[in-house]
Amino acid sequence: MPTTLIAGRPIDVNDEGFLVAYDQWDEKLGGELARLIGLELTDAHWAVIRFLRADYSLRSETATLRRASTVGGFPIKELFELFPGKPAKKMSYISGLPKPKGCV
Amino acid sequence: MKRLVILGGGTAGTMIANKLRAALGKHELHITVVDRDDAHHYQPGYLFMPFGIYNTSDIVRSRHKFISDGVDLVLTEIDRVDPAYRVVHLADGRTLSYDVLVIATGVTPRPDATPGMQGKLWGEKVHEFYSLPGAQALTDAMRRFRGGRLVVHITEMPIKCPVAPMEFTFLADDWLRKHGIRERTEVVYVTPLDGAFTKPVASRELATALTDRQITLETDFAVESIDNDAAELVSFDGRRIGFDLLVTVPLNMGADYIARSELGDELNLVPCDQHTMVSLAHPEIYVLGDAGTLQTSKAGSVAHFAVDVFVHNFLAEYRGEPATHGFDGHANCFIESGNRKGMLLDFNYTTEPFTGNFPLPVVGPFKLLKETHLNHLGKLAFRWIYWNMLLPGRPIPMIPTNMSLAGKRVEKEVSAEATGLPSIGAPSSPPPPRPAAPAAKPKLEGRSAPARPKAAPLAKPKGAATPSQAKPKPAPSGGYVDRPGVDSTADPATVLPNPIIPKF
Amino acid sequence: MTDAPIVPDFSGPDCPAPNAAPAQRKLVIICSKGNLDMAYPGLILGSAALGEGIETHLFFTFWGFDMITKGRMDDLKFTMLGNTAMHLTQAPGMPIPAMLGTLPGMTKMATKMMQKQIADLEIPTVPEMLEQIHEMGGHMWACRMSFDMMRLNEADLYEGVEAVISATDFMELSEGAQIIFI
Repeated sequence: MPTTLIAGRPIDVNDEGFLVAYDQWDEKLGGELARLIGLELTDAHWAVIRFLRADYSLRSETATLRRASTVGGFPIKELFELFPGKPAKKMSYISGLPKPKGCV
Repeated sequence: MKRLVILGGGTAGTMIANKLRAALGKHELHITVVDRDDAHHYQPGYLFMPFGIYNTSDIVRSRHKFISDGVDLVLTEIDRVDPAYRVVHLADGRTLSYDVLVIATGVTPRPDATPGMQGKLWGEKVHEFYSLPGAQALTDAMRRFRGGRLVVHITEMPIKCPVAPMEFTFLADDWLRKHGIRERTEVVYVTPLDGAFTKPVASRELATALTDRQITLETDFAVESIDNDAAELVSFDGRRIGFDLLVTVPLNMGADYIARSELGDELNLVPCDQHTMVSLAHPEIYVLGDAGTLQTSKAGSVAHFAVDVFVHNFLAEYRGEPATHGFDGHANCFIESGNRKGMLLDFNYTTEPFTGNFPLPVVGPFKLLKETHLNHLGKLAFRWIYWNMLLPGRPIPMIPTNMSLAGKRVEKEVSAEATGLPSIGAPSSPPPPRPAAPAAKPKLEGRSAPARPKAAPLAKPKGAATPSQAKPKPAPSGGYVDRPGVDSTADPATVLPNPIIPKF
Repeated sequence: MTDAPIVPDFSGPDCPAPNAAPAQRKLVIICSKGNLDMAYPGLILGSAALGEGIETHLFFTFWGFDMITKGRMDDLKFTMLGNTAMHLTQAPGMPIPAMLGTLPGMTKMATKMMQKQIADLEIPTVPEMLEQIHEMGGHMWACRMSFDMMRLNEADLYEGVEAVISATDFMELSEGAQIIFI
């Protein structure tokens, strides 16, 4: 498991670059991660990110797109707009969480 | 070409011969079955003979008829096995070489092992039904019985079909009532075990089975001898039980050639692996049926399931593949309880008999650990299945080789007193109360998970309406608190200066 | 040790990179079955593909029409007949004769069992999945020939289905696409 410097802090990541330790993330880091993949975060983005963090701490697994939609209340279309292309992966990357495992 | 020699043409031996003959050609595998005579007995039938339910022709058939063509059937006694040279020496002087040997000669009753058992009362007042002549003699004795004390007795465990003495007791109770002499008869069940049933759930469910029928129970009785003058059973601790008719299960031992070959223990049982049935002393010798030391009941169903596993592994190894199946000690036994009812027990090495349904949850149709008519019919029907499906090696539908928990009410930490409800965690029992675990998970500052909006966000957009119209309230992100992140504790020398950015 | 960050490739309609791959990945899934178990592979793959930003089309033909027919989509059934791989989850080793499937009530029971397994894993129902795919921007098409054969009308179909197209239209639509037939 490599450790890299992000925003000046040493952070444990996996080979793909996703964070592996829940507590190492904070919102400042989240902003930096978004910048690295070319996304500017608005309040709408932050609402999603905060939901994902809260949900992960409850269930110890990253919410799927579907869960973000049904439980989190974010319409799927909106998620595609906020995090274009691969919303599920981008959301979890920026939130410092593992990629969601579920199929739906 | 491999040579397989099977000693014993009974249940296990016949099944193995037939299944392997069907799977491999004569040029691939040469199969020989050795037994002392051509009479295959349906041993579960012995129990019914004294009550006139079966007679000899119902339970004895020709061995030849049930062993596939293409299998050599050698009818002779066995002298000994020489594992070093992989040779079986037959009593008539012939020898059989083998690459793989299966010992399936079972166990037989040895009344001579208990002093006094074969004394002057033998065949008159002292009987056993673990052999055909014994069952036939007992049939006469039952017909002549006019009342008194009937004692059903087990000499020592293990015996084959461990429930048969109990079944005999139930059937006898029934039979005596029908013949109007139950009032005049005292029925006593004598066992070396510490109870009629040893497993907690079975003990609880059947606790009243004996008392309901006014059957007296005598436990922890280790018989020392039979006093033929006083007509009494004598135990090592001095207890004496008198009888007018004694139906005993003599000591069960494996065949004598096993002792001559120094392959067995003090009961002539061959020590073997619990899951592959391979002999612990010789890797090319396997032990199937009652002849080994499997820690489960000695029963036909066990032989059937163990043979399934053995055949699968044998064929895998023949093809050079790893043998992956393991026997789990699965036993599935119908037990007569009299009055045209029966019980069904289904268990294995690690699971005791539970209540529930078999083989399917809910629909069953057989009930476990309960007396039902259907179970009795199942037991009787089994004779047909034995001759027509089991022995020929045909698969029996719906019955898995390894025990399944489907349909069972699994009980954990059952106390023998059966007070209070044991914790149930079964697939088929009524749904267990929702565990409190999710509530105990660390919550964030008193916030609880938002209620799942049921289908509201998925309401179908009508016509030109945009899908976002049906959007529910925005997600509450309250409860999430931003805290400064903790730095990694990795050795600073290993930290890479640039982040790894995933490919999206 | 890397000197410069590896620049990811976000090529897509919203972010074409200089060294972009020639065309965006396109996936076409043909759904031709109407059993409950065979409805899911197409839907799950479709929804996963959309989650990865892949342009996804679902093409429903023959019995797949049951998945997009309003009256039936909620009521797909599952039978053990002809399905030798069906196992009881509690007893995977139990040999079940296929003949059992002909008994009255067996299809209903098998369907119920499957629905329960699906619900236990919190997998959405077929209508919910179609809705999700539609929201994620998946395209759904119906086959002209089956449509005519079964004498359906547009009103019977799920609204998310864009149009009823012929095989030729399908060929144009699937140009350059990866096609999965279910």
